[in-house]
Amino acid sequence: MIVAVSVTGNKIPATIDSRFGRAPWFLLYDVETSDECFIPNTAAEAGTGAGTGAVQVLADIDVNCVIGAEPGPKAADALKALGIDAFNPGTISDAVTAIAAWREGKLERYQRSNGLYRA
Amino acid sequence: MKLCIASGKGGTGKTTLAVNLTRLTGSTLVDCDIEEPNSHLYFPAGTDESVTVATEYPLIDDDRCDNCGECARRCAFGALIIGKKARSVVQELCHACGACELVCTKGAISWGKRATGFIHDRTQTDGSTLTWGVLNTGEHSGVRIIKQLREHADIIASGMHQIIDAPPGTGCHAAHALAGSDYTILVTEQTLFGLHDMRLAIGMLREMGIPFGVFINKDSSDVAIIDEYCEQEGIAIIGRLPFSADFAKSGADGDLLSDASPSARQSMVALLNAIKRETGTELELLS
Repeated sequence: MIVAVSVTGNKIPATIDSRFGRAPWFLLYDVETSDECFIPNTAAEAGTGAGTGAVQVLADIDVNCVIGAEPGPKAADALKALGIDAFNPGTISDAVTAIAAWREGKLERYQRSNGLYRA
Repeated sequence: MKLCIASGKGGTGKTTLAVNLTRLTGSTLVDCDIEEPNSHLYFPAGTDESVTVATEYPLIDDDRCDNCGECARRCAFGALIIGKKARSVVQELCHACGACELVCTKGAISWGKRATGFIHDRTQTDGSTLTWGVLNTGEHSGVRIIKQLREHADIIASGMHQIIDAPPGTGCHAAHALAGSDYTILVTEQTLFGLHDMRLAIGMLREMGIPFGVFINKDSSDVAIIDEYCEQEGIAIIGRLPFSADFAKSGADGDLLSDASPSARQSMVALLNAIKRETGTELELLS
């Protein structure tokens, strides 16, 4: 099982970015092996569709859940369709601390938001 | 002639010019400001007709798709997300370009349709028609509506002059309203904001190769930043309308300035003369 955290940089300690789709990096953590690594969010600079592009980046790695800023409505729809749960780090800003809190079941899932045209 | 009225900055008076020039010349008015079309409010009487505009979006056949992800990689808009086991299509992001269908070797892509807005016609008692597009609330892109509206206008105008009221800004909507116009009136005001956004619009018009002139609305003798810029750049100022609280009130009441104010009418007529000088085409005044 792989968890991703949307972060501002590619070094530990890593800070959770205030944006989901435009966070420049994802910190990946493999629960079974405790391996971790950073991957660039290639969608971060997209003119349009950064949020859904970020979901595609996560889908390519087959991550199971993501911790970070709240995904926008379109990205939230895509995450749900792909079965990737999104978690709210709350007041935690450090990625490793957030992963630990998630493992202890202390983080809440974001509630699904609706696509804009269905608003 | 297709005479487009654009601005850069919103609220400079595009619609004011469009409706008054329409009134004076009897041209066909085409309101492309699909996110907030309001030209028709100045011509309340007539018979209305409307058609729905729809856009396509891809549907993925679960039995044929093997999750190769090629469609997602080719989509320039992030509208398809392909996971190892599941897939998602974000309809709002799709521009219906068809790239996903082209690259799919499994034939898994077909197309659904969704209404995104409509085109409205109003035939007035004198037989003249105005037409406008409407983008449904929450929809991202109305390019399809503007393209269809422009084609529709070419049919209903049939040889008459068209006055095209463009959306503000320099985005896709504005560009598609401007495309194919013979001349553009760039409406602005003597503010830093007006100058800034006008410069962006000038960049777009130059790139598109559309001749244009600047009309200064809400003009005041105290400030001349637009005059200074136009002089530096060698851009023609083709008209002015002074700032007037009465003009604003008249517009807010739904009255046509060219009917309500002889001096405003004079400014509009002077603008038409300037356009004739610039383009060689005369939009004749209704008798």
